[in-house]
Amino acid sequence: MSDRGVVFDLGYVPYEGPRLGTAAAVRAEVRDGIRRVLGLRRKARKKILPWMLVGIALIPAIVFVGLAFLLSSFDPLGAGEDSPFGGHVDFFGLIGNVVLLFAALAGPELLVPDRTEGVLAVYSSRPMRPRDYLLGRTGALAIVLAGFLLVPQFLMYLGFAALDDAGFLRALAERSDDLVQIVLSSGVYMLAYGAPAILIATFARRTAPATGVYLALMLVLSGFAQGMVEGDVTGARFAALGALAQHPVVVTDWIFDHSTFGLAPVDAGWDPWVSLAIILLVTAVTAVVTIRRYRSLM
Amino acid sequence: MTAPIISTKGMSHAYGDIVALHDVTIDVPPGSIGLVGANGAGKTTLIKILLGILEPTVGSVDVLSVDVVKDPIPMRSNVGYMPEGSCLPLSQTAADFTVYAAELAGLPRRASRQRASDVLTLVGLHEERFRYMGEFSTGMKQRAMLAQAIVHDPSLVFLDEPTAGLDPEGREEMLELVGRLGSFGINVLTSSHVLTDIERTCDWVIMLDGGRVLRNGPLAGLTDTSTVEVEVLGDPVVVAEALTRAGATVETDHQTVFVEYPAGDTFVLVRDVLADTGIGMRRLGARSTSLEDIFLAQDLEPPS
Amino acid sequence: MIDTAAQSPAFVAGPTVVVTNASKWFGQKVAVSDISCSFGPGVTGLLGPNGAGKTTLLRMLTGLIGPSEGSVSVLDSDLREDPSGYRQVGLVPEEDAVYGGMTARQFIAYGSKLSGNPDPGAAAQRALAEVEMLDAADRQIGGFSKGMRQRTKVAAALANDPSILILDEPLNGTDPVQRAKLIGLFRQLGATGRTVIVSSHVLQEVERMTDRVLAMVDGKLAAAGDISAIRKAMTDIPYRVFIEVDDPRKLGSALVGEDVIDGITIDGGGLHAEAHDLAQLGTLLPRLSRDLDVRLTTFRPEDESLESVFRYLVRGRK
Repeated sequence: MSDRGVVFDLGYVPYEGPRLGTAAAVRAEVRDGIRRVLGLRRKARKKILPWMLVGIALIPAIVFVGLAFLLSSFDPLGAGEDSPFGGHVDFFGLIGNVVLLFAALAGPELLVPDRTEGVLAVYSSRPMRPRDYLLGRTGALAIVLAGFLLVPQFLMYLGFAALDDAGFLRALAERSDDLVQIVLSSGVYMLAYGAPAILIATFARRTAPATGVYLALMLVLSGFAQGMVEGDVTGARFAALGALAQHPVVVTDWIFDHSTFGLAPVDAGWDPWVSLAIILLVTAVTAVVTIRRYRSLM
Repeated sequence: MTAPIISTKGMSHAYGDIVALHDVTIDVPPGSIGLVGANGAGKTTLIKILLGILEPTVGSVDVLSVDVVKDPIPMRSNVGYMPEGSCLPLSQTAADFTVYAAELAGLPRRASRQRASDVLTLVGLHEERFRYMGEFSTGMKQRAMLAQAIVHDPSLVFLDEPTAGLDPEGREEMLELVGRLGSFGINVLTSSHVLTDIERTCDWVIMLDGGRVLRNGPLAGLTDTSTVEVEVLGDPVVVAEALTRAGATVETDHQTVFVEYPAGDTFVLVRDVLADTGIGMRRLGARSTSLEDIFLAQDLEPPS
Repeated sequence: MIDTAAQSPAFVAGPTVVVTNASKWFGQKVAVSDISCSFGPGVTGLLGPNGAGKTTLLRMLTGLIGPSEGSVSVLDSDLREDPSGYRQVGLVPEEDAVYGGMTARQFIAYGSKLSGNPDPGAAAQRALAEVEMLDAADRQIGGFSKGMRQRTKVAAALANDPSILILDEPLNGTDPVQRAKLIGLFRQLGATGRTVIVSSHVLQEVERMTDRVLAMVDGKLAAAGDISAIRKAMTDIPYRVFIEVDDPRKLGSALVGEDVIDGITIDGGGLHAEAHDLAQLGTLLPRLSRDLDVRLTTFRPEDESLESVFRYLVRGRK
């Protein structure tokens, strides 16, 4: 036994295992996209802005539920009531801007570096088509935006149910309509704020200006439209259609049967379905234009 | 030939009015293939078509027995690509990206991690692999790019100018790595302007000019000649005269004598003449035309 | 100038550029460490791994930066003291200055004018003729191939007829035909009396341009002079030669017996031999192989090339 020795060949070992196809590649891409926008596995400074926004998103939810809890010891919530300090629809009003900011940062971050750093060449040589690539990138954005929109709301939903005088489980059932409204409204926000970010990121050459253009487009246009409507300037009615940042608010109000003050499309006399139509139109245009652009790039 | 890894028939590609590739019909056997041509000759277009990134205007293209024009996707799990320039996300580490590159090729997560680790060692990225690639030197970047191209153990890998920007040591190491790929069972197609690199690493050459295939064949076939060349240490004239007297056809260029002797064994004749004259040799061998000579002999005018 | 040819091969007779004990440091990092050498008419190659200090030395030669210690003088005048010497040094940098909208002629004339040439048009015409680009002179640079952009840069550097031309990686991205043309051009420029200094990583091509090189490693001069003389100076490293023969073992044992070789490795159809005197081996071999009746088909030195020499130089520093 002591006379024997062996040297292991540490040379190249071929891979004989499974090669999963496009679906697996896209899933990997989504995971990579999520990490990219949250700054995970990247330099520390890339985490600052995203996680700040995550914090800002969670805080109101915690505050709403916390305050409701404080008050509830004196005056329990009747079934169907939310905290006197605000409920789901008010939360959308708060988180809307956070989602807008996040889309402004994440959209360009997902699409621009792959082009400017030449990484598209790697995707081009993998089993994925341009539309698969885009599905992966937009999927990552959608998931993170959905996280912002749904997670705090869901926490609030649970919190309110726990404080409801009808009892936790009954309250969950009675408040289930809220869930549908939350999900629908979240979807509207995701499309309204996500699509333009993707569209701009498809053409931008650098990330920072892309973020700037997006914010200008969304906020400045909306502010402009609002000003025109309030000043009752000619053409204000059509300018109101350009208030891209406000359309999801209009639709959410519609879903929750709520009314927010100072929305240009509403003040200009448009029905809420017009806002929804515009959101869907922008989304469709984004999809078509983006796929066309990437077909020529990849 | 054994089943070709690349096979095209009547393939042409035009960008609007500009014809980038014209009637390309080639069969390429497994091995290490060199792709050469002037700038604008169509090399990059050809590579993109072979990868399925571009669809040719007409013609058929089969890579690894897959009809790439119809659907390149199935073939992509088995090919790798190292493009010219950079293709690395600078905000990620080499370790992280190489794993990702394997997952994108369809490897399961655990296998991806294992393969990435092994391949990074293979290309010579050790502790550096945990640094962000934005901080990498050119040499490190080239290695990382090669790693992503082979991490999924492809059957065929396309390398576009793999030694560009590397210092002599880096070039040497890259060429050595490229040379080893064959022993890993990986076929290689290298596009390069440095013809001596191609001569060193390839056994088959595709030469393009103005979108047409000028040559497609084994390197030896292109470059071998029946002439023997010997660089002598003494007076070449003495050697030349002795050889001519023996019936050989001789040319001289400075200290080098080129000998053709169809009537017999040229090498033996040269040996004997040198032994008789007592003149020593500095260099002896079958003359091979360099790729560059072939290139220049075509009087290629690079379209600019 | 003192005739320094009798000194080390780092110096030339009748030099146009003289570097004397030059050092340059950036904070803690010493990029160039006490270098003394000179350049003269003809082509000289400047080699070294990345980070060896080549680029820093080149910048000192053009006067872009000054040495922290020591001096650089061009045509007998110290560049830092007498800036008019700049005009005698043409630089073809590695980077591409992108002037896509201009034609080649415009770009060259513009640069010439900026350097104070009184007749930039004529200067541009002459330079374009020298690089054989007259037919493309009036086309926009934006549409040029890499090789043509390189030639444009060379023409721009030649416009003011400098006696010293510095080329940093001039063959980057050029295709084989353009490369061959440019190599021919550089050799010709050297042959007509200009001092041409070429820094390049592709050593086989440096070999085709010149026999004289300066090699830097870690900021110091590691070797200088004629390539084969440098190799010869590495007396501790015997030459390796590959001998292809139909009976390697027979020839091999005979060679060992003849006391011309230091070592031998049998390899398939041939053998690799190590010897200190290749000429002796090359003179012995024909007679020996005839006596043994073996068929010799290759005798090829394996480590005389610039690449091999360079590898030995760098390896010694690891």
